[in-house]
Amino acid sequence: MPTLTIDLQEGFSGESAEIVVDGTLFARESRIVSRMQIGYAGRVAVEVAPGVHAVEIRVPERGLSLMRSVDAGKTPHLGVSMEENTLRVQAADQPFGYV
Amino acid sequence: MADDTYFDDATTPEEAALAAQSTGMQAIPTNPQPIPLPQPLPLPLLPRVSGLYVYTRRIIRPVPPPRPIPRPVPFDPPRPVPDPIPMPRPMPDPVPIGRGSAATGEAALTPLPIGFEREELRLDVDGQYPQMAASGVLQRGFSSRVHWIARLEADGANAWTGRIWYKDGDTAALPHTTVRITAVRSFFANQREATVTFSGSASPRTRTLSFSSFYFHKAEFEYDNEVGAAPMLDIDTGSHPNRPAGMPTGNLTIETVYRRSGFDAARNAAATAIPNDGPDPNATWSDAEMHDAMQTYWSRFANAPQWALWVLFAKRHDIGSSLGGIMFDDIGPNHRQGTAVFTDSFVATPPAGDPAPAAWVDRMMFWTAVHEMGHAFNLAHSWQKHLGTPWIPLSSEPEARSFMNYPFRVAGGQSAFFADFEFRFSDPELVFMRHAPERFVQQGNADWFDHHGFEGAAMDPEGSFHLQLRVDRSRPIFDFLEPIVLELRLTNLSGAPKIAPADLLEDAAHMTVVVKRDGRPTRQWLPFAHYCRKAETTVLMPGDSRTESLFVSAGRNGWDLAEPGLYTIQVAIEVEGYDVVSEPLRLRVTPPRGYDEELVAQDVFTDDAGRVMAFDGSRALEAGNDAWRSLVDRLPKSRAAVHARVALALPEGRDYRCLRIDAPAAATAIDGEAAKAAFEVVRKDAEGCRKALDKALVADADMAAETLGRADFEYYTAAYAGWLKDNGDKAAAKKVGDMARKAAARLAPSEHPIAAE
Repeated sequence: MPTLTIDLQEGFSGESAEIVVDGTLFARESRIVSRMQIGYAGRVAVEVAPGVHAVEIRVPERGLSLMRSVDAGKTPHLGVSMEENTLRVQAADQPFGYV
Repeated sequence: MADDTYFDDATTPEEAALAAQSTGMQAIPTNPQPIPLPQPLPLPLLPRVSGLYVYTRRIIRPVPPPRPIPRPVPFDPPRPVPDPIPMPRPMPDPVPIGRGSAATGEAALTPLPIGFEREELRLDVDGQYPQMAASGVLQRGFSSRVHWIARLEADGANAWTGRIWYKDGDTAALPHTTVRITAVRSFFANQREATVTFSGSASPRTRTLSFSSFYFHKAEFEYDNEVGAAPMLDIDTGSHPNRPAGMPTGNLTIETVYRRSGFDAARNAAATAIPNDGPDPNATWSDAEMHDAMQTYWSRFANAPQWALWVLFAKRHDIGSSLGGIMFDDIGPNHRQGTAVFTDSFVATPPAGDPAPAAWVDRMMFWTAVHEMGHAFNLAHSWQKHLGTPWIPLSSEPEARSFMNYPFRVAGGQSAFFADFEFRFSDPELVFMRHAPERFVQQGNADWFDHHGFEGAAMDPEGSFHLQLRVDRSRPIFDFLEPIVLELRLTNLSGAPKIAPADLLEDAAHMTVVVKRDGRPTRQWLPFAHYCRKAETTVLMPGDSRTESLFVSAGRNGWDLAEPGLYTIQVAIEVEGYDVVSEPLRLRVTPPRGYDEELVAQDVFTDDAGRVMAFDGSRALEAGNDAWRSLVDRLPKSRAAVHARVALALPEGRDYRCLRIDAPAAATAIDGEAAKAAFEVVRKDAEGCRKALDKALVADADMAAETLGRADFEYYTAAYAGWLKDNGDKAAAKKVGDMARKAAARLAPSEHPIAAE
């Protein structure tokens, strides 16, 4: 089974995030804090069936939600940032790197 | 290079000798360098003027002329007082030290204090990456220091003019708005000087400063590595074919990068290979482990600001291969002293199909090392410039070809980045590193992303609670030696009952308290004790409050709040999984008022005395008791004496059991014999206790209420009244109770806050 990795990256300052895949809540991370020097806050890995999935990221405290369809075979890496009260998602075929 | 440089390893021997002559240092032979061919000489060859210029003078009190040896004076009848009375003669001029001519137009400035005067100029108009900027510092004694920065335009062959756009510190000491700088170019260091004229908004002021260095600051780097993680300290910039067309190539060291940025960068030779001989050879590093390693292996480690940093080359971080490096040191009181590069991470994996994979890895590893070190100079990522509290309003540079940008983040990805990357920092980053106030840049000084003490707090989005930090006096000003007791008040602002731990405000285990003295790093107050209690909860109804006192002067960190100065204190407590953060409280500790206070302070600001105060007395910590007794004897009317009398009296009010151990611990260990331990009962001294508490709480109840704070004053007076009643004096008990209520009612909360730094 492919693994989707969702990296929580920049802009988090103690919020929670919910990862919903195909309508099912897979993970709820609380108290997420981004470290400015690496632009990284944490990672969630979700095993999914091969194919395209609807991935939704929610930040309830901010009332934010963003849905993205992801092909787990082609772009299994998602990077989620929060900037000016807006969620941004970036899909990649390679793991994200931080320095 | 298109330009000759004094910031570069490629400095010629003649230039190196000149630089050495100018700084009084011996020229250090540089590493053997490949001779770049061809290397056209710039014509005309002009000595550089950019660099650091300094003016210093000490102001010395005039030495009085020797007086004749006194002889017996025959008694004379009083003589008439001369009219007019002779006045003291004018003092001689201050004595200048070193070169530098006296100023003109100084009438606009405030009188000079006795002490010293130092001025610095950082002129940045030629050489490597000139920023057409100047900055400087004017310091007078220990009381006045102002930092300024100006943007410059050429105003002649060796002259520049510009507007001062930034000031920091005692800005009243420099009311001027523009600056004009002229510089003397010379191959001889002792002839180089710069003259600075400030004008606008005040009488012009001119100062001539002597050349000191081609660099703006010094910096020292120490590289240690985990065994098996090879350091990458220099590279051949021409080894990878994807590079800027026309970029000169050759060997480039990390020190050279920072020398080009304006730092007199040197490598500390004390490199250490850190063994990885634990049970798991593949163990990864946590930030805390790296911080510990820094304290152990870095030969220069100190909990103090210094122009020095530690770089660890290690294999892998706990986060995994996705972390290539980190400035891990946002721990403890002095941030930004340590960085790490991970050789077993994604930076060691070249892109598929890269034409020179080994060179790509070398370059990426080198880039990562300089990048992490850039964080230690307080540089943010290129796309983060506008975030946090930047030193000036900044714009992000998401496409910058800088060491501080991610190569794989720009348009076109890493190949587009490296095609234009010239192994340098961006211009705004160079302005910051060269010209910002030293405390923002220097390692171990301002915190990483300064003024973000509670940046990571998980705030309750509904704002159910309010935490107030206050003092029971009209202004938050405390006498020197006065133990500082604050009041915490937690209020339920929501419309529903809230459940909270019963000891939420009593036990420091639930709270984080930070104390920051102006100009010093933030410190976390660590209480002397944590209490292990049965977990009980309490209900806070809507609008209800809980109040508790907090003695913050001393803790396991020492006396964090004792020296004279301005402090900022902030408290966060955890309720229902969220952090409730108080507004910062500003308070001032006044300077000592005489010899006695300074003398007593030497004994009071100790661990024992702090514990005696924190635990309301002790019959075991005699050194602490002696310190407070000495204070009561020497300063009986002081506010501190109120606290001291209470702490000394409370143990005297009852029979007190002290554990006495006869056998020394060492002897017990050798002989295997059990220690001879027993409780000894020290009988109460009722009369002594009563006298002390009367003086502390009753004699001047208003002062006692103010210095102890409402919560502690009510607690102590209630306890004292109860003790009097138990000892058969109901009338005195009632008198104390009545007096306490009246005094507490007269207390007023602080209404005149002290402004933020």
